[in-house]
Amino acid sequence: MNDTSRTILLQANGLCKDYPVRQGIIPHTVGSIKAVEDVNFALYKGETLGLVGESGSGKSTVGRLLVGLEAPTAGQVLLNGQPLGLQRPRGRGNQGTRLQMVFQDTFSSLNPRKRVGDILTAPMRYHRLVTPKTAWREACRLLEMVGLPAAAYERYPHEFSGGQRQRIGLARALSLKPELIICDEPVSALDVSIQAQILNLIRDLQQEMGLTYLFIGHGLAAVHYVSHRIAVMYLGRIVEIAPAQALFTMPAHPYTKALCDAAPVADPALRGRERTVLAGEIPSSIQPPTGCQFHPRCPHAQALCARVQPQLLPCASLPPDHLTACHFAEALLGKGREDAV
Amino acid sequence: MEGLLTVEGLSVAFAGEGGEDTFVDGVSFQVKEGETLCIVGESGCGKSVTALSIMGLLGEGGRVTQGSVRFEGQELLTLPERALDAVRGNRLTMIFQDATSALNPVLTIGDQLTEAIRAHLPLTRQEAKARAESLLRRVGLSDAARMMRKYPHTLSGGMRQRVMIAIALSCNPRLLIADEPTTALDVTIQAQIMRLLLELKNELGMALLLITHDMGLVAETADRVLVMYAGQVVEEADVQTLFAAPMHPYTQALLQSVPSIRDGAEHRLLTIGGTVPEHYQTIEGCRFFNRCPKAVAACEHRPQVMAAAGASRARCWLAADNAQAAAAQTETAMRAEHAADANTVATVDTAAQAQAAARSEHDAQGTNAAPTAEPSKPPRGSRP
Repeated sequence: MNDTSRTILLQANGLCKDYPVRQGIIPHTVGSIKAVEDVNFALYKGETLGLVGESGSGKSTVGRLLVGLEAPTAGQVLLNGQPLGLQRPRGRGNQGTRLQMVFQDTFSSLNPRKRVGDILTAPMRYHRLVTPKTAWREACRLLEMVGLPAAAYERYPHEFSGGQRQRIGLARALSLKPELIICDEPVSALDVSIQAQILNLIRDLQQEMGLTYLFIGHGLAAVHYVSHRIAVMYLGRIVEIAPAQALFTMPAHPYTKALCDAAPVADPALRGRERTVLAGEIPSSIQPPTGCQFHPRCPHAQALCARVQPQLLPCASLPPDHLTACHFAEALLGKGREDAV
Repeated sequence: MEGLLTVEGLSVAFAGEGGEDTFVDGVSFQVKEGETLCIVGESGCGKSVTALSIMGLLGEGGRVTQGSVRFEGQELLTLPERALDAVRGNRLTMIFQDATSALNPVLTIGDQLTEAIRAHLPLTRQEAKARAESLLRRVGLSDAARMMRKYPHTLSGGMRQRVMIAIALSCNPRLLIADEPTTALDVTIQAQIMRLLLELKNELGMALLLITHDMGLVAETADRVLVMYAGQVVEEADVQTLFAAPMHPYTQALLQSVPSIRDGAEHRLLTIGGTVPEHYQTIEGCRFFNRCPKAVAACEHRPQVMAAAGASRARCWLAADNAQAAAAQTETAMRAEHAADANTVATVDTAAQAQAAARSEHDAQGTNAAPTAEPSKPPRGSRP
C-alpha cells in the first residue's frame, strides 16, 4: 500500500466497554468487567487490520462496538470523519450500510427458516437498494461473487457445509456494498482445507472491490495471511500495533513475542528452537492487575511495571507506525538484537 | 516385533438410516514403547472414533465390525468389561478435548483423582490422597491441598486439562491417548500443556498417541504420523519424511493449505477444492478422487491400497512419484531461496531448470489427466 494515498476510513478514539457484575438474591452491581479499556486505532481505506488476542482480551467486543451490537461506555468512533451513532444503532440511518459484519458461528448467524435468497435480499430491501424485480438478479450476482451457484438462492442454510455457510455470510455482508467489513473469527470453526478457501476468498474480494477489513482472530498465522497491519490485545487494551511483517520479525512487546513463540510451526526441523512459554493464565478482568496488565506473567517485569500503566507509543529504534505499550520495549529490543548477533 | 499397541484392520460402523455405515475402514498401525504417534486429519475423518474404539468407549450405536486391538500382547476387543476396566485408566489412559464434560461436575477434584487411584492401586485413603496431591503438583497446580477440595467449574480451561492429565497419570500408564487435548485452549495455554505432556512422557517413559488436526502440533511433537481421510489411513511416515516428502496428494495439499507466521501473505495458500463426499463408504475407487489435483481417470474405480516406500506407506498408486516430485519441489524452492540470497544469475538458472524438470515430472504423472484442477488457481467455490 502506498503511504501517501492513505486516507483514514474509521477512527476509534478511547473506546471503553464495562459490563456490570451483578450478584445476590436481589441482584445488585458488585463490580464491573472492563472488557475494552481505552482502545484507539485508525483503519485506512483498503487495508486489513488484524486484531489478535486470546479469549477474554476484548477483541470481539471491539468489533461489536463498531457495528453497534453493543453500546460503548465511553469513546467515539469516526467513520469518514463523521461520528458514528454508537448509542442508538437504529439512529444510524444509512451509515449502518457502510459497516457490515461476518460472524464466527454460521449456525446462529443465518436464520434457519429463511431461504438463502431471502437472507441475502432482506438487507437490500430494508434499505431500498433493490426493487422486488431486481432483488433476484442482485442476489445471484452476490452468490457468484462468493463462489456459490445461483441455485443456492432457493435453498436453506442447513443444506450447506460450514465453509459454504461462511460464503453466504460474506455474501450477506457484501449485499449493502459496505466500505468496511468486520470479520469476527470467520475461519475459526472451519477445517484447515476450508479455512484456506475462505481466507483466499476474503483476500480476493478485497482486491476486486477495494474493501477495508477489521479481521478478528486468535490464530496468528491466519490473521497474518490476510492482514496488512496487526493489533495485539491483552485484557481489553491494545499492547502493540504494527505492520504485519514487522510484528512477527521484530515484536516489541513481550506478550507479542510470547504469542509468536507459542504458535506451533509446521516444520519438524524447527522443533528445538528457543521459545518463551508464558507461565500462568490471563487474570480476571474484574480485578485487572495494576500498572501494566501483563506484568504478572511477563518474564521481564520490574517494579515500575506494577505501578505505572504504559502508554501505546512509538519506539525510537522502530518505524513510526510500530506502536507498543511497554516501559522496556527499547531495552528488550536492544537485547534481542544482541542475542541475534 | 510386536509394539505396545497394535491395531489391525480396525473397522467401526455406526447405525444409520437403513443399516450400518462404516466410518472407520481397515485402520492398522502400531505404537511402540515410548514413541509419539500422531493421528492427523480433518473433522469427520474417523480419528477420534479410532481412539474411542481402542478404549472400548464407542457407546450406543457404534460397533467394531472387524479387526483387532492388542495392547501389551492382550486382545482388548474381546475382553470382558471387567477385565478391560483393569487396563483402562491404569496402563492405558486417555484425555479428551473437552475437559469440562469429561470431569464430573458434582465431585471435587480430589474425589475424582483418588477414585482413579484407588480403583487400580492397593492404597489406603490417606496414601491415595498423598499421591493425588503430588500428582497435582507435578502437573503444575500449586496449592494442591486447596485444589483437592475444588469443583471443576471453578477452574479455568487450562487448569481443568491439567487435572485431566493428573487423573490420566494417576496409575502407571504405558500409553496415553490424547484426543485434541489443546484444541479448546488459547495458544499460550496450549504451549504450556503440550510442554507439560512431553515432559511427563519423557519422565515416565510412556508412549503418546496424539490426535489432532493441527499440522503445527504434529511437526512439534510426533515421531511418526498417521494421516487419515474419510475413514481410512492415507499415509504413514516418520515426521521428517512426512513434512519433507509427503507421498499422498491429500497430505501434500494439507501441508500447503496451512498459513504460517513465517510466510505471511506472500505465498497464496493452496486450497483443496470441494468437500469430503457425503457417502464415501460406497466409493470403490480412491476416496480423495473428487478433490485430488493429481487424479487420473483410473483413480475413480481402481481401489487404492497402502503402498510401501521405505519406512512410509501411502494409499495412492502414484505415491512414489508424488514423493519424488514433492521432494524435488522443496529442493527447488530451497535452491531458489539460496539463489535469491546470493543474487547470482547462474544459480537462478539451475533453479529454473530444476523447477522445469519438476514440472515436467509432474505433468508426466497426469498424462491422461482427466479432471486436473490447476493447483495455483483452484476453483473458488465448492458447489453444493
